Amino acid sequence: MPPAVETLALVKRFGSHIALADASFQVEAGEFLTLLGPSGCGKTTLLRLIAGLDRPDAGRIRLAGQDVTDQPAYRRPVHTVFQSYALFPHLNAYDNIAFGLTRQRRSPAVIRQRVEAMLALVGLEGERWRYPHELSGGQQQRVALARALACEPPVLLLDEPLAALDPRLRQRMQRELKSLQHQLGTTFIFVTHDQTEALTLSDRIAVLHNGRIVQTGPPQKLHAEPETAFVASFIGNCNLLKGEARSRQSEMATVVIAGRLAPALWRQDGAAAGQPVVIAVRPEGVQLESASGDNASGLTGRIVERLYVGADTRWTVRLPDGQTLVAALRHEPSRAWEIGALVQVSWQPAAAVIVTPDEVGDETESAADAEREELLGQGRQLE
Amino acid sequence: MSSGAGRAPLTTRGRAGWVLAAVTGAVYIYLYAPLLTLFLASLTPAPAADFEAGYVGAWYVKALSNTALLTAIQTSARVALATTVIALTLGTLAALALGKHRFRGQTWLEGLFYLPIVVPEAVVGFASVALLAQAGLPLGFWSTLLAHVAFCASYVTFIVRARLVGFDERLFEAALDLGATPTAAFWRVTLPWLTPALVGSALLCFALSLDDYVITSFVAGDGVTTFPVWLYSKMKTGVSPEINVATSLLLILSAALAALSQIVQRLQRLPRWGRLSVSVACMGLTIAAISPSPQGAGEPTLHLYIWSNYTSEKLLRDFETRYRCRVVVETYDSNETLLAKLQTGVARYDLIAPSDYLVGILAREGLLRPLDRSRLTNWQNLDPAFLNPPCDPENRYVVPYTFVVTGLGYRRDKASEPVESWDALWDARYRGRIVMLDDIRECFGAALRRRGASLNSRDEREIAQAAEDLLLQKPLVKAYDSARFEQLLLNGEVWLAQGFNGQIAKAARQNPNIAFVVPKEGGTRAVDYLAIPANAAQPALAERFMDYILEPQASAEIVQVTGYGTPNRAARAFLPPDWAGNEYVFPPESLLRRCAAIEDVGAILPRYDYYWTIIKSK
Repeated sequence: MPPAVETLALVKRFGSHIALADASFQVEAGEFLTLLGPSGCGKTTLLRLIAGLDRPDAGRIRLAGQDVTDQPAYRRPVHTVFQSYALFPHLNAYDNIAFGLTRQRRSPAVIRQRVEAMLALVGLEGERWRYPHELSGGQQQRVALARALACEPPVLLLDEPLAALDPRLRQRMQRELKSLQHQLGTTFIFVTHDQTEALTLSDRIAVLHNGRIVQTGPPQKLHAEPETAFVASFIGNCNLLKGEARSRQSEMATVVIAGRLAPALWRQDGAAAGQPVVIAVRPEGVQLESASGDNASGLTGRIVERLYVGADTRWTVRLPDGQTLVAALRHEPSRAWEIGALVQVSWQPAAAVIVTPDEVGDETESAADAEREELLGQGRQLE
Repeated sequence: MSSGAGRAPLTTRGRAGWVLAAVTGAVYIYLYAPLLTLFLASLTPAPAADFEAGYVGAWYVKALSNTALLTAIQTSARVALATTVIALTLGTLAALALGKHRFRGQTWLEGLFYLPIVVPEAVVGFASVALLAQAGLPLGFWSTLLAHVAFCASYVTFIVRARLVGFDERLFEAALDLGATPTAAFWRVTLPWLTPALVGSALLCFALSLDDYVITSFVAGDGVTTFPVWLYSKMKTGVSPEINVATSLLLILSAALAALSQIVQRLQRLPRWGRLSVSVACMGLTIAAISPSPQGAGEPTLHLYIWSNYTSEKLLRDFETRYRCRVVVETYDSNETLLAKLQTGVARYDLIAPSDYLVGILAREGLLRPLDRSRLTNWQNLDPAFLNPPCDPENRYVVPYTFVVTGLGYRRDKASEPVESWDALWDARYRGRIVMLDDIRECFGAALRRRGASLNSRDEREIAQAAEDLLLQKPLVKAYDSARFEQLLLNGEVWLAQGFNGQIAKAARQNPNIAFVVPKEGGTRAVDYLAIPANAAQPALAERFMDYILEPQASAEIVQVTGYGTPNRAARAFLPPDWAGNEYVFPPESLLRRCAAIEDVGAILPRYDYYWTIIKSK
C-alpha cells in the first residue's frame, strides 16, 4: 500500500525568501504525523502545498500513490482545519458542516445523515442552528473539525487548530482529537509549534527548521536522541555544551569539556576524533555531588543559581570554561548547596548525545527563548 | 462606601445616557419633521370648491389620476431599476478587480473611479450631453440610463470595495479546500459576504437615480420625464398638493425598499430555490424596466417640449386620434433649460413653447424654423393685438399661445381696504404678510412702476431709487417665491402676493375671498409662444398641432387648464361664462393698456444685478 501522503523534494519560494527547501517525507495511512517547528519554519507552507492552496516551485506531491501536484485544491481528497477555523459567517453550524457534501452533490438524505453524524461526533447537536459568531471558541473549533471530516477525507490537514484555545480547553481538545483520529482511522497531518502538544498527540513528529525537515521520528526517539542541536533544544529543555571529541568506540564516545573527560553517545557517521562537537544533555540526566579532593578528576563547576520548581530544584552550574548548564534534581538534604559551592558534574553515558550544530547558533541557545518567540509569533498567520 | 463608589458612575452614565437620548431624539425630529409635514399635508382634505366633498385622501385620488405624474413616476422607476441592476453589476466587478490585483498606479486609478462622486453634477451633465452629441446618440431613455449608471457605478465600487477589504481570504480558500470550484466559492462565500454592501449600494443607486435632477435635465429627452424633472417643471404653473402626494408615495416606496433590503439580507440563508426565485424576479423586473413601453408602431411622433401643466391631456389624445400620430410630451422648468437643450443640438423636438424674450434669442441664433403660414388655416382667429410682436416683428417663427399678466393677488377678507396700487406692498400694516416673486425684473418692475418710472428703465437714478425702496420693503416681505404664492394666499399665510394672473385666477375659484388686481400704475405682460426648432423631425405635424391649438375649442380648453388668457379671439365664445367673463384671466382692455412687456435693458442690466444681490443677501 502506498503512503497516504508523500512529498518529494518540495521547494517553495516567496520572492527571494525560501520558505521550504527540499522537503521530503512520507505519511502512512492512519498515521498521526505532526509538523513541528517555530513560526517561519515552513510548516504551514508545507501544509498549504499538500492542500493545493499554493503551488510548489519544484518537487512532487502524491496522495495514496497518485501525483496531485498539478491538481487544484478542490480536486484533492484532503480537507483542512484552518487555524482561524475559517467558518463561513453567513452559514449556521449545520450548513457549514454540510458545505463540502453539498459541493459533492450528495443526495439530501445522505447529507442530512452525514451532518447529523458529525454533529453527534463533536457533541454539537444542540447548536446546529447557531451561526459562528454565536458559538464559543471551542464550539467553533468543533464545527471546523466536523466540516473538514464530513466528507470522510482519507487525509485531514490541521493547521494549529488548538492555538486559539485557552490551555485547559486545549488539553481536552487534544484528547478528543486523538481519540477521534483513532476512531476514524483518518490520516492526520497536524501543524503545531507547541512541542508538548506534538509529543502528546503524534505517532511521528517531523521537526522543521528554516524551511528544512531536520529530523523525523517517534516522540520518544526525538526526545532521547535528537540529531541536531535545534531538535534537542526545541523538544524539551536541553543543555548544549561545546566540547571536543577525544575518542570513539562504535556509538560510545569520550569528549573533552572544560578540560575534563565525559562520556556521550555518537550515532552519526563520519565524524572524527579531535573535532569540536556539541553535546546535548537533558537537565534530568545531569547529576551533581559535593566536590571533594578525591574525585576532582571529573567535570566540576560552581553553583550560580538555584530555582525551586515543584518537586525539583533546578541548579545552574558554571563550568571553569564559562559555559553553564542546568541540572534538575529531587530535593534532598544532602543536596542543599550554597551559591558559589563547588560541585562535581556527571551523567550516564546514554544521557548525553553528540548532535550536529546548527548553522544559526543563536536560535539553538535557549529552548525557552524559542518558545517565547513562538508565543509572540502565534498571531502571525503566514509562515 | 464601596456601594457609593459603585453607584456614582452609574448615575453619571444614566444622566449622560438621558442627554444622549434627548439629543438623538432631537436630531431625528429635525431630520423627519419636513417629511412628516409633507405627509400630513398630503392627507389634508381638498377644498370643497374642487371636489364634491373634501375628504382625507382626496388628493391621492387626484394625483393617481394625473397621467403626467404617473408617467413621470413610472419613468423614474424604470430608469432607477435599470440603473440599479447595471450599476451594481459593473461597480461590483470593478471593485472585485481592484481588490484582487495589485499594480502600479492603482491608487490613482481608484481615485479616478471615485472622481464622479465629487465632480459637480452640472459638469457631469454637460459633459454627458457633449459626449452623446459627439457619439451621435439621441437623447432619451438610453441616454438617461447611461448617465445614471455612470455616476451610480462609482458609489457601488466605493461601497463594495470597502466591504471587500474586510473579507478573510481564508474563507475563500476554505471553500476551495472543501471542493468548491473558484466560481462556486465566489457565489457561495464571497458574494454572501458582500451581500450587505450589495443591498446597501443597490438601495443607494435606486435612490440616487430616483432623486437626480441636474444630470437628468441635461441628458433626458424624447418624452422621458423623470419625477424630479416633472417636479421642477411644475414651478411654472405652481406646486399643487398633488406633489405632496407624489413625494409621500415616494417616501413610502423608500421605506418599503429599506424593509425589503432587510428581507433580502436574510434570503441568503434560504435554500437554493429561494435564492433562485429572487434572482429570476430581479432579472424579470430589469427586463421589464428596460424594455420599451408599448407604443403605436409606424405612426409619426410629435415631440412636444413644454412647461408642465401647460397643455391638456384631453387635447393631446384627441389630436393623436384625429391625425393618427403619437404625441410625446417632455417638460422643462425654465426658459434657460429650454435654451440649453436646443443649443446642444442633440435634443430633437418638434414643438417648443418659449417666452417672448427667448424667442428673440432663438431666432437670432437660427434655432427656429420659419412657419408655413399657408398651413395655419385658423390664423385669423388670433387677436391682431398679439400679432407682429417685437420679438418676431414679421410673425415668421411663432404663434402666440397664452398671455400672462403680473399683478397683485390679495385676500379681501384680510386686507384693510381694497388694493389698487403697488403702494400696498410697502404698507407696514401688512408686515410679514407679503410675498414677492423671486424674480429680479418683476421686483424692480413693481418698485419702478410705483414711482411712475418705466418697467424697463435705463436711468441709473431711477434704478437706485427702486433698489432703495426694495431694501426698505424687505422687512415686510415674508418670502420671495415664484412657485407657491397662490398656495400662500389660499392658506392665509400671506394676504398680499405679487403674482401671475393664471394661478391667482385658479386660486380665486377655490376661495372667493381671493382677488386679483392690475395696479393702477400698470403691471407686466408676457406672452408665451409656440415655435418649431430648426432641427425638428416633423415640422409638418408640428404646424398641424399649432393649427389644431388655434381652433377655438382647443384654445378654450387650454385656458381652463392653465388659467391663462388666450390670444385666440374666437375661443371666448367656447368658454363657460364663469371663464369667459373672468376679468382675472382676461383683464379688460383698459387695464391691459397699462401693462408693458419686460424688455432687454442692455448694458444697464449689471446695475440691476448688483442691487438685486444686495437686496437678496441683506
